[in-house]
Amino acid sequence: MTCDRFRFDIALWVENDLSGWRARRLQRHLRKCPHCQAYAESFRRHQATVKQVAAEPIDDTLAAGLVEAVMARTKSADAQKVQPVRRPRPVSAYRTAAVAAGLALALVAAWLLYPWTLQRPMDVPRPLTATTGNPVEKPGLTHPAVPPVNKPVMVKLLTDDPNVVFVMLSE
Amino acid sequence: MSERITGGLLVAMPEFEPALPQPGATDELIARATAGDRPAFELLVRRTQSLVLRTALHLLGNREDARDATQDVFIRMYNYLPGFNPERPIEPWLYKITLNVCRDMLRKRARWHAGSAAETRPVAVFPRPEARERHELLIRALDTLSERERAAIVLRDFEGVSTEETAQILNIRQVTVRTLISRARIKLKQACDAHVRAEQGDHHDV
Ligand SMILES: [Zn+2]
Repeated sequence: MTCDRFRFDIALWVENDLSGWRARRLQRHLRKCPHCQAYAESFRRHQATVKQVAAEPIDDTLAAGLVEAVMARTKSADAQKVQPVRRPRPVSAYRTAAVAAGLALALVAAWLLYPWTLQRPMDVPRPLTATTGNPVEKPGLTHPAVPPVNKPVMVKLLTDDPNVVFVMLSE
Repeated sequence: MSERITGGLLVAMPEFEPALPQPGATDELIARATAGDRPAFELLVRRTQSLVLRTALHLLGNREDARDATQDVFIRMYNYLPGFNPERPIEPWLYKITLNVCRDMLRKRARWHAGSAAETRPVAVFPRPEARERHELLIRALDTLSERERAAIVLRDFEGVSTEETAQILNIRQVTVRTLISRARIKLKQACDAHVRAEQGDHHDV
């Protein structure tokens, strides 16, 4: 459609952003094309609406406390130290995945580097009582029979996100 | 050239509410604020905050980010004031800072939300309900524009800055501004027309 090429010119012309030969060419076309005339008229109405809406006063709550916040943040004598505002952001799935991957890698590395050989039974120095056979509950002892070794150890890994905590329990 | 820069930003749309009601007094305020006068700086912030808030809101599309951006704009203004020539108008400078702050914010937001669905938060900026509805429609329509189209149309049509000054603020040629705003205007109009058609369709269905 030949009128289509005038759409961009009309979009400029309605706000006096078109001049010279392009403006003259458009005006010649508008005189004989009711379709483009109607489009230009509707564009003018649309532009008026845009400007009307943009000129509306902003509600007070948007500006509430802004000046005070700026003044508080510029109080520091050294203006260069004033840092831009940082609002906590929602944790993205990518970020959580990255943190989890990092932790998993750290765990694997820790497992590989752990001196497992020390835990082999033959390397563990036998306790002196080992020769007496199975430990027997001695009468008179007040504490319950708690296995002396392999007490569970809980490791908590905190992340930037307070809602994400990795907890590991050793056997 | 410099005379044209000082020509005033709101010339193109005289019906606009002027952001700086007393231009003469503003010059003095800038000079005093530049010299470290904090009450003068505070008054300067009060006078220019609606300009920055409105621009940030139209560039970013939501209230919370607009408020954060506005704070950052004034922090930057405070930091850069010593190097600012008080004889020059402050609006182009403020628009430039606002555009930079909002651009940084949009890029950070794009990184944060990479892979997650774009959020749609209510804008609700204007007290009058009918204006609010139209405004939210326009904000959603602005989201369909490219970053450059949006910056150009916000300055030219929403802020009433002339094409020449828009080109100076964006540091691009005027012909480029015209290309950007013609595309942006058509996209906005299409979005608004589509909305009106959808509403009329709804009414016919009922
Ligand atoms: Zn035509």
